[in-house]
Amino acid sequence: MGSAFLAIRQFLGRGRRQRTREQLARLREEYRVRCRSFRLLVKANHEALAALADLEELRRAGRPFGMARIRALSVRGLMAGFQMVRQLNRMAPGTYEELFTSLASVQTSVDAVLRRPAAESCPDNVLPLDRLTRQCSRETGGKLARLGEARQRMGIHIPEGFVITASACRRFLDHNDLPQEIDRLLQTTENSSMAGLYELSSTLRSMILRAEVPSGLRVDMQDQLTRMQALSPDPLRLAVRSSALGEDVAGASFAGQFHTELNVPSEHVEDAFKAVVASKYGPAALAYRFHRGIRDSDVDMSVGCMEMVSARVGGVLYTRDPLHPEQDCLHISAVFGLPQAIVDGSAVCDRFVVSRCGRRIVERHVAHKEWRTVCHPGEGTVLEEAVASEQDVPCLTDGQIVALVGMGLRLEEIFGAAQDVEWIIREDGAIALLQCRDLHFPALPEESDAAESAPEELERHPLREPLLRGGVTASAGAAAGVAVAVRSDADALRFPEQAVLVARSARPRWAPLLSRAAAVITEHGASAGHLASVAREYGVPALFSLPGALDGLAEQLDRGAVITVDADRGAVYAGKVEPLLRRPPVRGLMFGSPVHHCLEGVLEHLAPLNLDNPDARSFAPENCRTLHDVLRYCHEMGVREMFCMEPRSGLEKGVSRRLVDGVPLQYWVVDLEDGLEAPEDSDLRTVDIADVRCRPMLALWEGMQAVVWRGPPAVNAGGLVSVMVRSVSDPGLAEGAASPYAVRNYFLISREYCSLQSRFGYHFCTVEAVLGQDPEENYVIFQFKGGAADWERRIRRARLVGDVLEDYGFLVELKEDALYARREGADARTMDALLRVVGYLVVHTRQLDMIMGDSAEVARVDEQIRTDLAEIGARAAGIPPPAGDGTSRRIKGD
Amino acid sequence: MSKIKVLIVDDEQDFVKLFVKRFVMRNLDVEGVTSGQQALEYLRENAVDVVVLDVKMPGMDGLETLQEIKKRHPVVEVIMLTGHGSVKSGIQGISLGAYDYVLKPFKIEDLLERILKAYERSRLNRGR
Repeated sequence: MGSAFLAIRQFLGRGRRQRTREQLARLREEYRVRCRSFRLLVKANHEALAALADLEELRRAGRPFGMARIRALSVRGLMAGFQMVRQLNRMAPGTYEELFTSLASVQTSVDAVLRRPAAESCPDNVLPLDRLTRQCSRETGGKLARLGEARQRMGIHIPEGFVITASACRRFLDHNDLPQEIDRLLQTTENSSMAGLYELSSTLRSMILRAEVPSGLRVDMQDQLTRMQALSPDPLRLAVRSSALGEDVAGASFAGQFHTELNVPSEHVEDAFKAVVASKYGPAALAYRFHRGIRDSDVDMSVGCMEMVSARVGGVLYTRDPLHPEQDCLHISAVFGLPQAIVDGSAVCDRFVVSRCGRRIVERHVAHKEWRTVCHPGEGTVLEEAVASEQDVPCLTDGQIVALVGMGLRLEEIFGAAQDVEWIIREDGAIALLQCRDLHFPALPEESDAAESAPEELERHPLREPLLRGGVTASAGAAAGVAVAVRSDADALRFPEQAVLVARSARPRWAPLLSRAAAVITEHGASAGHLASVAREYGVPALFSLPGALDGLAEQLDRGAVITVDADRGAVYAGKVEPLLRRPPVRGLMFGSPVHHCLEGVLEHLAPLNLDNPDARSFAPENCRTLHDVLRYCHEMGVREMFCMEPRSGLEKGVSRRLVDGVPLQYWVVDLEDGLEAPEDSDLRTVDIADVRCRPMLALWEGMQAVVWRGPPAVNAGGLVSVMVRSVSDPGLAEGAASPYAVRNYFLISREYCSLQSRFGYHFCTVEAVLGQDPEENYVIFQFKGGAADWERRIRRARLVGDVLEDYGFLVELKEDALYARREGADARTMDALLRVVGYLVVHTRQLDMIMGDSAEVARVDEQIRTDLAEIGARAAGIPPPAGDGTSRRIKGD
Repeated sequence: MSKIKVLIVDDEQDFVKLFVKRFVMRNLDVEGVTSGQQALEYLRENAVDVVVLDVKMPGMDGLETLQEIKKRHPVVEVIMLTGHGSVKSGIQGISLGAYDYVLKPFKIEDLLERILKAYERSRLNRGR
């Protein structure tokens, strides 16, 4: 403060008014830094810790979350950390610069985890289908690579065609500057709502559909199309299919999420290609990735362009029963025409079950097949009425069934796992392979006693008659919920959590709803469809092909009544049928996912606390290895800076005004900013307490004068009494002649801030507080030290006051005879009460050290303090004080 | 108390529209513009308490706009809003005098809270 004195001296000789103004400006600036900085530091500390807590909460994976949430919380935490470092450096310039470096290195580590991993690039834009092997799958996706391999190793027919590589797809997006914009949109709208999801999806897809195909890719595609056309006498028609990379991530199937365009003329292949790339951002795909914790960067698209082969019969073959993988049989679903309708879950189809060993057909379900899908003469496919004579005959001969089974088992052998195979039988009778991938099995629910006891319980409580019976089990289990019909996208948007979805067909577009549905019922659709596989993945019980479900449940749907679906036994009941409701399947789908893994990686750099002991030598900026370390360090040091800053000696003098409450008091007030009602007028020498509008000062003042100080305690060492200043809390006793040890008591105030420096004799204390509407910015710190009595007594006093403060939730530290107490983050009401307590203690502990020799006296004082504080508290809360106890105390005010 | 005057600056027209609608519903006096240049023009003519500014805009970007706003209208508080969340741009923003830095997606109530606080600050700046 020496410089302050110099500065003041320089002012001498100028006009008083000018000097006062400059002095006040200096003082204000000093306090602005001190108060604002600490206030912002405390606030940032809250914000950063809240972000850490939210991240920790995500880690438990109770609910799905995406990269956007992790990124937002990490940035929030790191920004708040930066704010703390910045404010700490403002409070003590130059002392804590190293923290910027520590924080920057935490930030670098976090960025590295969150960054989109760079993909390896391959120069080829296109690769011919029949030359692919599984080694190509990084560029072509597993599905298409398998087609090439099946062709080469087994001589199986596959359609002529080529793949547009994942690298080419990325170059296509880069060429149009899309990746950054996509990231931004994903960050902005992650999982906001169902409506938000649809909107995001439509924005992203239309961006891609509008984009331009780079000329290199266009030329390569054209070359391939020319090559294919040369092999075919008819005008070339293509099937343009997605083949996503990353389908193996965390056992994810991506069933039915991406676009396929059938029967495309070669001049429209470019548009179909864009549509397939865009389908990475279809609503079902976005929702699926979000719920499975798959990052956008984990999935890359490649696009297969294959000659369209017209099919006599088409279908899907599972080399195991997805619901009962242990059973020794294959399942075939088949229709006349293209198999599209089976895949879409909308078709009524023939089903055959074949034993794996012996290849015997053990079950045969021949459906009434009214419709079939065929290529439209122009473009695309159409449903047409099937030939009447074919509607009720099986679409496969036994020979064809056995041939399909043979192919399936060989594919299984080559690829080393049960397969999900999409096939057709061409007009010429040859089997062709359209797609093939590993078959997904639902995560088996942990079989428990509950499950086993269910049948027994059912016997004890016979069930009422079901509303509906029948259907095909698409996903096992039973569940209850409100019945909700979904007929349109608008219905989908309104679909509530934990309801039972009732729909006409098992369309893949309802897949996003499965994260919210309790169960699914459809009138059409097979267990081989996409929706079924998504239902299994989510563990949502699903009953498909239940005829007349919408009509049969019309009453329940109208009323929004609860129904119970028993997908295992093919029955739907009114109300909640408890015995059927086994434990709901565990859905901890996020565990082990890339997003969850990423979260773990981020937390590793943010959450652990290494600096746990502020007194240790290792408590230093260079040892801050995580965000949490930085927060801890900044907060500790911020508090220390506040406690250690010596009060200014002198600067206040010229700019302060004496406090008057009827009579002049021994307190002076400096208005830093907005702390007084009346407009500032530097000619005034006094401040009336009625004009003070600084909330923390008023609360403090209430506490200070709530109970009249009984004066210096009676002590034997009479000599010491001479240095005492008499109470200033009693205006009648305002002391004119200060002792040489007494300095004035200053309140430095703004509207929400107050600093009180007070010195009585040898006794020195400061209170500093912010009391505003935002609890996160509020704090009060209180310290005192010194005293006139001997060391032991002073320590005892500090302990006594510390105990009292701890009871009021303060964090208290005692260092010898000094006491440091603080409390942060309390709401305005609590702060008000705390400041009253502190105010009382400021006045009433002044010379307590004098009497601290006698333990009986200590106990008496302790009790007195607590009684007084209880009374002050009750008064503040509007409760009348207990009846007078006959002591000499009087409560001020009414 | 007169309404809080907020200016939203974002090149995405739809977002601006939605923002204005949502915050007008919450009784704020909100105007929207779609570029930094327009923002500065608007501020020249109109009194504003809080500016909500997108970091990434074509032409004059958010950080440049921020600098100009702080230079010309130091009492106005600026909240940076971004979808390209990065600590680096956040730190730049705060260092250049932004009051706060909010990463999309945000909750309306949360942003409202921050706008109210920024308003408090700008009120203090004006010495009101």
